[in-house]
Amino acid sequence: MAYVEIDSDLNLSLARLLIIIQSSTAGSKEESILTLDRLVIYEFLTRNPILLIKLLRQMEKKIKLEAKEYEAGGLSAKYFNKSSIYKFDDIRHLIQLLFSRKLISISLLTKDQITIFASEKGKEFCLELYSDYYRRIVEIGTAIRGLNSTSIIQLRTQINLLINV
Amino acid sequence: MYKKASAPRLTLRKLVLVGARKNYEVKFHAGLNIVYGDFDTGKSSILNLVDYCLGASSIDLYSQIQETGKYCLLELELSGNLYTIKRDLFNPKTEIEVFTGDIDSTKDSFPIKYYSNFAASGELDYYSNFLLTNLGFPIIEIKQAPTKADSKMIRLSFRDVFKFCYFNQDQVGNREILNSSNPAVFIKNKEVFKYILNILDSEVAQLQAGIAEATKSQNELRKKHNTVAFFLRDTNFKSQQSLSEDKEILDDEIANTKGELKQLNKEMIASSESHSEVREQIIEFDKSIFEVLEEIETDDITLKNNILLKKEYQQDIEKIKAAIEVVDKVEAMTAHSFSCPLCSTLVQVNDIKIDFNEHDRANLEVELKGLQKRVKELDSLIRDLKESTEANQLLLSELKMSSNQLRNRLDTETKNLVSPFITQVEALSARKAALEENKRTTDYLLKVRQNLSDINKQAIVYEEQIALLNHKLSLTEESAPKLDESLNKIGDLLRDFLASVQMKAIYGVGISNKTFLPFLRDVEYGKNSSGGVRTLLSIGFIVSILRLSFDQPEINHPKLLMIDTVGKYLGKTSSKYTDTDESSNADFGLSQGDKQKYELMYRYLMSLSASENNYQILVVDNDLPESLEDTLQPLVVKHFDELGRNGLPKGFIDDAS
Repeated sequence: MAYVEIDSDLNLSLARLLIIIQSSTAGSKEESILTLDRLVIYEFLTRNPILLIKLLRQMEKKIKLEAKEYEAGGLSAKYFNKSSIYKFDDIRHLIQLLFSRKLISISLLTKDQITIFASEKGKEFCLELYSDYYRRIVEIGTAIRGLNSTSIIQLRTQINLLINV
Repeated sequence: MYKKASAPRLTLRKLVLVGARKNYEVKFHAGLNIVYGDFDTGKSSILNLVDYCLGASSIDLYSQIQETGKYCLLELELSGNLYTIKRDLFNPKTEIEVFTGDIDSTKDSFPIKYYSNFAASGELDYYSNFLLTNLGFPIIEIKQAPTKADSKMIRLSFRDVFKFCYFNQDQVGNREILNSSNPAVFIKNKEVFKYILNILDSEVAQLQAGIAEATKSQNELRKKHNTVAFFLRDTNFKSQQSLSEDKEILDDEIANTKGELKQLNKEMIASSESHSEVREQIIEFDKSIFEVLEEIETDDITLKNNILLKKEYQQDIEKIKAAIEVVDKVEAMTAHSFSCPLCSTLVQVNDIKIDFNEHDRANLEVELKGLQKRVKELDSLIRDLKESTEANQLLLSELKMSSNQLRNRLDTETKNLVSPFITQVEALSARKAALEENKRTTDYLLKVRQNLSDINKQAIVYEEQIALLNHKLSLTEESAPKLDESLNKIGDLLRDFLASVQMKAIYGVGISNKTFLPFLRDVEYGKNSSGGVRTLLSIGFIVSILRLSFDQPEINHPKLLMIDTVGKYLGKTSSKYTDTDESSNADFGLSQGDKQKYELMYRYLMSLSASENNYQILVVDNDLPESLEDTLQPLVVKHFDELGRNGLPKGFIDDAS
């Protein structure tokens, strides 16, 4: 039986990223906000919800998220992987796969810049996921919306202050 | 009337160099005292230190004394009165301190301070005057130019007299002894020579002036003594005897109290030994407490790590459940290639998937079960650890309680045991402190009384000096002029000396009435080309003056000689290095390797004690005549060996590294 490394499971990563795209942009007037840079940061914060709560507190944003006990006391919260904040290639590949499945739409913002949002098919897909884990990702993605108005540079600066990168 | 018993005499008893690490001591005896040993071991420094304590203006010390020495003390008798001289080694201009009594009693009296030289002026007297007075020598001034009636008068110092008593290494056998090359000083030295022999032209007038000066000083001291004595009597000050008795009683009581305190401490230690079993039990309990605490700490760390792991597993379980939920749904939507929205190129899905793992449902479910099982195991382990910690906490509190009970018991018992002791110790300590305070006060009062007694003693010294001066005056008045007579006597004594050392062809021997220096075969001392002859003549000269003082105790000689390197030029050093003519040496029966003269000179110095006991000769030499080594041993006061052979000290500073 092959060893299961759940954090790099393709299907789980795809579903998680789709929920992040959907929940962080849902109801937003400006759907064009979600660039690749921003999505990389949101994906990192989703996997480290304790850091997200600290960031929101540090930036004096409204916090509608409470940490779960296993998130606060787990090994990954204590020793989180700082380098995953720069996983551009992984996220790019996941976007390509979501796009190939028509779960997201991509608009060309400038020559080098795209914005991402969930397609109708993607939105329906999200609605059919019932696991506690996905429900938690929805809660986190919703809380992340509070960062949509903050610039990428500002976000990186604030995160660096927290993790001393 | 002058009495023989109080004839002028300076007797050295003990020299102490007080050092930073320890004190270095030399004891002297009557008659001949010998210091000998290797080069650069501090032999000459002993004579230098004595000379310095007798008022020399400066001191040349060997390096080890300079490194370790602080000050020097010289215990001496001046015409029978005991004094201790204290002088700073590094500041010759500082006042010289004189204590009455021996070195040990310096702490019991206040010193009298004297100016070290005539350059100082103020309320204090001069050290030279102290020495001259106590030796019964008149304090006078002499003419700078004796042939001129209106010559300027200069003070005569003890240092002037001592030039005829101390020949250092350079002076023994030197062509120019007693500053004969310096006319001004040499003229003064000749006047001093006459002073020593009591044959100064102005002797009568000087003696009368000296008597008047001494009488005045004595009257002042008597007056001072009476004033202080009256004050002490008027203030009911206890007598010296009564204070001494008080001091003895206090000393006894302090010693008794110290003894009682010591005994009490012994008893206390003995009684507290019975608690050693309880103490051991406490130590055992403390050891167990430490072990349990360590176990609790280890369990706590393990517990925290297991909880962390369990939470991580719980997160993974949620993720696996989520992965299982989407595994079929996502697979169903699989496309194999698509056009990239950015670059419009065809992208192969399988190329992208390579960075991720694709787990099938079966794999995920097996992993889920495995993780759930591990969580259950961790729950059980966490429960066990919690129970173990609880049990250990209970054990810990029981151990602490038992330990505290034992400690309380020990404290109570110790308190019951020690409290009476402490009360007694406090009482005894307070008594001891009070007694010591009383003793300090008594010591101070005794010092005051001692000071009064010293004033009285000094007055008596003046009385003796006056008697001696009166005696000298009568002798001077009866026998003047007698210069030639005295010179002849010294010349005769010098002849005896030369005969004793078996010098050849002794004729034309005497003391010149022009230079007051010796001559042999009618050749003046300084013109003699033989170094060995000059050595014998120079030593013979000062020894003969000493000999004269045996027959004429009234002359102004302290009956102390110090000679550094007796064997100089006497066949002990190559002529290459000496200012000597070998053929001239042979004419007088002296030659290289002929050590007979050297031996005979020691025999002569030893023989002096047959006619007189009240004199001292301090001799420094590199070695002793071989044939006399055993005979002279009782007279050796210090013997140094640079390598420390035969257990001998390596030098005067015997602990130098």
